[in-house]
Amino acid sequence: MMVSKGLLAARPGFGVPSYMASGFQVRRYLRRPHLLYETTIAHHLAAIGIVLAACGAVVILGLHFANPKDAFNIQDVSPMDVATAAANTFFRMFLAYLIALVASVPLAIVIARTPRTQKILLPIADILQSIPVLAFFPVVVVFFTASHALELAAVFVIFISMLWNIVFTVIGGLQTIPDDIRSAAIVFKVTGLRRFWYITLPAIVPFVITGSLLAWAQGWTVVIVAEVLHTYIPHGTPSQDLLGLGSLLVDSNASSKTSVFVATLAAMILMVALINLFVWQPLLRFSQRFRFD
Amino acid sequence: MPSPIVFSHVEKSYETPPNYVVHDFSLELQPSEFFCLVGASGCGKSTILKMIAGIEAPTHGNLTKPDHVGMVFQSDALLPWLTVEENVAFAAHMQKFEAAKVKRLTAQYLAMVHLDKFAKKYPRELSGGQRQRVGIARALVVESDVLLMDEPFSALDPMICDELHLEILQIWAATKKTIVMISHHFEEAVTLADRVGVIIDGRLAQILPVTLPRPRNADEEPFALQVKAIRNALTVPSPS
Repeated sequence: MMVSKGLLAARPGFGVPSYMASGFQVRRYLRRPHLLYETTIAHHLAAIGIVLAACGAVVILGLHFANPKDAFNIQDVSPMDVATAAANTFFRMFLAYLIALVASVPLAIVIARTPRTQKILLPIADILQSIPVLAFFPVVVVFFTASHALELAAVFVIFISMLWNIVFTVIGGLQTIPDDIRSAAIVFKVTGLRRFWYITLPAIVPFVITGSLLAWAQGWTVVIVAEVLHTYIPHGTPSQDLLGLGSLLVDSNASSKTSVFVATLAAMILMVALINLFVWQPLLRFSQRFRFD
Repeated sequence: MPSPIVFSHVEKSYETPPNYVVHDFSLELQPSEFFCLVGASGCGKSTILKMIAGIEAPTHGNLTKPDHVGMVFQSDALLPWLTVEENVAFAAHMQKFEAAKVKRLTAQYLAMVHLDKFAKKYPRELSGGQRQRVGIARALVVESDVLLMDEPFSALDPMICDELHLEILQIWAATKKTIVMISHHFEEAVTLADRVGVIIDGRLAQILPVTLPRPRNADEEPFALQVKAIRNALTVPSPS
């Protein structure tokens, strides 16, 4: 296997290890000698590509939320508007998902930490997740409207709808970590943050992915309502809706614009199918290596 | 020279009010001794081993033990997302060994359990016996004086067990570690151990020395007599 020596070797402290010099084709990566990653130039290029794509997405998201172009006329919707709506909806869901992911994993770990925390926090979480998210959407909309942050109203509701799917799946995942693994962690002195990083986090990967899949499914349902803000704003008009696949679906249906409705529906189905094909299926296959069974 | 492991009137309960699973347990394990614990399921053998490992603490009594032990588990307890080499190196790295030492010890112990050619494989790609060998290499790589084994061969077929018995005896001879092993098989205990501790209802009912020369042959009469002695000891009512 070809091994890249350039990218890390150029950084201070990441010179080529002695065992590589002797022809052993495994290298240390980021000072973690217990994980002897084999890296190729392709790995490094892929990593750079992913980081650049992530940075680009953050910039586009930032620009979008700083200057939302949500005004649209349902009587005059072009194919470009449908494409923009698809991108907007995706960004909203992606942002809500990121927040849900960051919040749900620590929350699940706190809840499942000990039998005592489970006894106290699990029923509370169970009640909270039972409250239908759309029941308090009018309050959320009024709150965010007052702050002139309509995008955030939609993102918040999608976030809430996604959160519990990941939390409860991860709680289930934490309980599948075998007792012998917990014992091994103690014996081999893998405790505290090291245990979280090296054992807990990888062990819940399959459950985070399954929970994420369920969260996105729930998100697609909620986004249709979350973008049609005018129905929740006192004396609201459709001009206050957020441009997205959800609002296009609802408004085109209300205005009997069948062609827009069909095009929007097709765009949504296409997007769901592409995400499933290129994101969830590879991730589900990838997650198999983290399963204990 | 490793220090002995000494139990002095140790008791262990997981419940409040106490319901003891280990009662008044006193035992001194000599350095470099191969000691085997036998007893029925739920008699407290695993709890005794867990106390030596530091996984559980005694409720009462004193236990003198090293802070640093290696342990082989009944299930292999390997991390499925790491390769064979990474699983072994991971345990060494967690002891804060230097990278060069981690690398050297990993290669050394993988070679010792004859898995050097499988270093890049994932645990799921190995047989049960091979996975247990990885577990043994991982327990050895931490460079402790004590090796604990909790029914390590119970899920393996008899042929593989015989092979691993031979290997564990070779490793023991080479490393001079104190080995404490739990077994359900009396023949296994007689094949491997210097002394066999018989546990009944959380109490150490009897200690039987095994004085047969190694390698021990299960077809010979003295071996059968030792096995019979353990079986008889387990049928004796608890000293309580």
